[in-house]
Amino acid sequence: MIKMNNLNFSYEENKPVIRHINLELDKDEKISIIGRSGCGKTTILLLLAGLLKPVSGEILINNQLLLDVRRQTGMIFQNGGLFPWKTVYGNCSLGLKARHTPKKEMDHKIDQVLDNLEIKHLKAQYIKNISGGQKQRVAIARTLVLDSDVLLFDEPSASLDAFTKENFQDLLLSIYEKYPLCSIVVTHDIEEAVYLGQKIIVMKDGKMDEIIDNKKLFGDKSAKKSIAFYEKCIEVRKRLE
Amino acid sequence: MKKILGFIIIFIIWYFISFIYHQQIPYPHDVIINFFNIFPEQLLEPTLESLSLLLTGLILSVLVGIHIGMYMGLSSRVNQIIDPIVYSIYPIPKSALVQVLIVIFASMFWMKTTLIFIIVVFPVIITVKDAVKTIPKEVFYHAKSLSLNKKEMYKEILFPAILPNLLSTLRISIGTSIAVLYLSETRGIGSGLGYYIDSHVVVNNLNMFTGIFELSLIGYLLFIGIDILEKRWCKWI
Ligand SMILES: Nc1ncnc2c1ncn2[C@@H]1O[C@H](COP(=O)(O)OP(=O)(O)OP(=O)(O)O)[C@@H](O)[C@H]1O
Ligand SMILES: [Mg+2]
Repeated sequence: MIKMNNLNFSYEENKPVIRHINLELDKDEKISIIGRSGCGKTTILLLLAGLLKPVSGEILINNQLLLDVRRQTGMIFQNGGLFPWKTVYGNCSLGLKARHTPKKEMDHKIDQVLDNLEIKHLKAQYIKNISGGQKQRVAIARTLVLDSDVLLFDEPSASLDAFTKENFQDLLLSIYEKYPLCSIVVTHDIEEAVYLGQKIIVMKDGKMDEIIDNKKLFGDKSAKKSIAFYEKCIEVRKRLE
Repeated sequence: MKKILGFIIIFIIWYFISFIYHQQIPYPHDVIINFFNIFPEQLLEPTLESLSLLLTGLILSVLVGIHIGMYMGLSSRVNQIIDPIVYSIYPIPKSALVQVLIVIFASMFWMKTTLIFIIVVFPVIITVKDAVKTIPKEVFYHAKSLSLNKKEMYKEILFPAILPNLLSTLRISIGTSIAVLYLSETRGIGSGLGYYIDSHVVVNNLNMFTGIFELSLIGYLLFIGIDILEKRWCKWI
């Protein structure tokens, strides 16, 4: 589904941020990317969203060269990036309105997604009146209403407290069950990376050389306290060093 | 309710001062009664003139200021060109501007409108520019990934984002522009409410105070107008 061929990017000349990345992801795959601050995690997501242009190399999505933003790729930003001057409903409807979706269909779709994310009761609220965890849900909702097939999460739970974070992770897993998606979660949190990724990619200095298979532990809540989970975390930690 | 209390306080102070200086300063009730008596014949015309000046100047400066400010906020190149112009004209004393504009303009109406325009447009430009710059880049990213067209971009993102700051700036500018309007109406061939007040200083004390009373009433109503716009358009604040 997503294919990166020898991808390179730099913001300023001679300061490469993304270096020779080759990676292929399947249609239904969920991966997590972990890496230290400044290694290029946000940058790679922006490239995949079509919001930055590669300096060299290419990105293919569904065998099509990515040249511009793609309507079915949704990015959930670190700080939400919601529109505070719009209500929850307004944040969700803007993309549909821009696509001239009939009002009835639009409302139906938004209701359905908000219901699935358990925030339907917040529909008429402005963003300042909702909590951090709820904001993340709105950010997801506004991309899901656009029938997205690729979701890019930039440290989605970084600003949430431990309890809300767990809630959020489980919500994400339930979204995966309801919607067929290719999903990339960028995180600082090793446990989150292990819980939410079928593959864990350790990113260092703009490279993605280390890929850890994690099919067994992915999304398994009962395994979270297990030795295997703990060992996996240690393995990831070692590779990060 | 609280607003009424504010008025009561003003009137109490006014009564108090009038009581002490009752030769020079008329009582509030006399001014208000006089206001209704002389308004149709003496005040209506200068009021309309001053008001149309004020509104034309305000509207023009908001329209122009929003456009320039947005361009400056969105493009650092435009910003670099216009910044020095804005920052060097803005601090010129307003009374000096009146003198310059009297020389340039043959029409008094456009002289005064231009004056108000110059006074309001710069704060508007600076406010809009800064407001655009503080929009988080994620907001632009998301807008871009929705492929919004130019019109939607202005209507859905840029305009709502700058509106609260714009209204605050207008609130401040209205006070200044009324003060400067008064100044300009008393220069050269005077006209409008400012001239009315000025020409009654010696002749009729009561009428002069009635004119001042009206001027502050106009300012108050404009403030209220902005409050209403804010309540309606900036619920999200
Ligand atoms: N707009 C920009 N202009 C110039 N350099 C930038 C820009 N954005 C990021 N960089 C640089 O590119 C590198 C990668 O940045 P990026 O934001 O992708 O890191 P990150 O892995 O997401 O870090 P964090 O975990 O702190 O969010 C950093 O060295 C950063 O300083
Ligand atoms: Mg980042």
